[in-house]
Amino acid sequence: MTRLAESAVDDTATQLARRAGAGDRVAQRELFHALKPCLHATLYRVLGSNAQMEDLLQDTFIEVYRALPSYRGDAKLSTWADRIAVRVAYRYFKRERAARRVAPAEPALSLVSGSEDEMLHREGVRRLYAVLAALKPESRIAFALFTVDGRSLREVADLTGATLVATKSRIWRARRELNAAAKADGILARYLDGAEL
Amino acid sequence: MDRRAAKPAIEPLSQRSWQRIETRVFAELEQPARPPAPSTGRPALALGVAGLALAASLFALLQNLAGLPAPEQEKSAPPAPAAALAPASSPTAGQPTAAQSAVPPQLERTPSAPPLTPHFVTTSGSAEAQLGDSRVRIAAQSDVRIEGSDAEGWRVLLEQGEVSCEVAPRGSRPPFVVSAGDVAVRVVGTRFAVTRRASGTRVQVETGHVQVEHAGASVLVGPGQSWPAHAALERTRLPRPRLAAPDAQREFERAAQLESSDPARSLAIYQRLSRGRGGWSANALYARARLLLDDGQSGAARTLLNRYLNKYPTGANAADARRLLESLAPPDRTAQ
Repeated sequence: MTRLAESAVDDTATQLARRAGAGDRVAQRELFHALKPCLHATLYRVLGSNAQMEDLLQDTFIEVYRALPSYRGDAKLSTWADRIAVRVAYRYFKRERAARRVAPAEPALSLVSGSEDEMLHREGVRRLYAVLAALKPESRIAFALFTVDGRSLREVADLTGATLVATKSRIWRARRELNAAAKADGILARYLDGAEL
Repeated sequence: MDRRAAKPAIEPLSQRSWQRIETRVFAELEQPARPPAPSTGRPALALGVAGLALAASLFALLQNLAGLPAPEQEKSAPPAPAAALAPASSPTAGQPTAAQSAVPPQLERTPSAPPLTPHFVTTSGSAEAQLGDSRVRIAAQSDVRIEGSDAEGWRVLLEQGEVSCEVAPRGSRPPFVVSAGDVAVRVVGTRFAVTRRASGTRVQVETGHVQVEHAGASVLVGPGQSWPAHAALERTRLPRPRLAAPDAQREFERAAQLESSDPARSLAIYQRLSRGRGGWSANALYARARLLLDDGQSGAARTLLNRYLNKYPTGANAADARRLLESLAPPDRTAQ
């Protein structure tokens, strides 16, 4: 897509956001469907499953609509909305920890495949998120966005509202915990090794 | 294995889940804006309120330390969830192979949001929920919500998968109901299983009787009987939707990720996928239409949306496709 076409798409998104922010119900519905895939993908990477997804998506969308009047089009709409999703996930993790209800996030591994590699991969993912669930929310989110979702360090810092140094430190802490867990867990070690995490 | 290949696959949300989210979000938006916090512009009053709150907290803390009950807190606290969940006694029991998530009842919710219900999602293992004196076994790869209490009656909402229920005689208590889409199973005391797949819903009764309500009709199903009578045949003949090719799913997810950063590449992947067969092909066809619409190519988008609806009139994105087509209608039809 040319730069001009890309800019036209951005303009369309900004206009849509403006209309939605002004209370245009049709625009709000369009925006809902436009943001569905990216917000779900971001939250899924952070949470590792769909277990609490409905509630968190609901909270995210409500915050997105309430914040729309402040959206000026400086960032891509999807990036701006992703920041809100990350904040919602962060608050959820904080509440979860405070309530001492840390249920290991379980990826919904329902796509069936018979190969042993696939089974080990899924089990590795499950164990990865189980270790992440015990970390501080900041580290958990930064690691998931950087390493699992493959975003750049700068983008993770931007989404989490942290400095680059703090972001690096959070990822490093998560990696340290994972490496320690992997020493006693062959499946996790194999997954981390294969995934170059 | 490179980093991308190691990414866990994103499990799509069901159409019903999206509809629920959309309904709740827009119901919330319909609510009038909440009044601003009293602290703005009233620092003295705010300090007074904060001081009172602090004093109340200290008092409550002292009460707790002294082992005194806090009756007001107990009155306002939500009742403890009556549904308790435990991993099923299966070969995998004891290992965390079944994903369960009971939504913590004390999570903050907006006042107008619907009440939270325990939500159970199982993956590779099964799980059991104890509902008063009744028991529900949730099979692997199921999505279940549970509402109610022993006093109000239980309602098990089966989104997907299978539940086997062992319901203690209800006597004069309110009924135990399992809802699977437009099918409701009303129970007085029995053992039975309800299965919900893309191919339809099936009820199989082991002991006792259940009343199956569907499309305005009510049928009594007895021990050893199934509903509908030909369900077993249907189930074996129809393919299981979750056995989608993992490669197609990965490609689809890759395309979805590229939508904002490289729409042209994303469109190319969707186009390639949409020529194939199966669920991901249908999803790709719809996604391509949506992306073209985002790009302002409404004519091409309209063609693809119509093609999608012709090929998959009851597809997962059919409702969205119709909505998008409606939004493409001439201005005089869409004008408010």
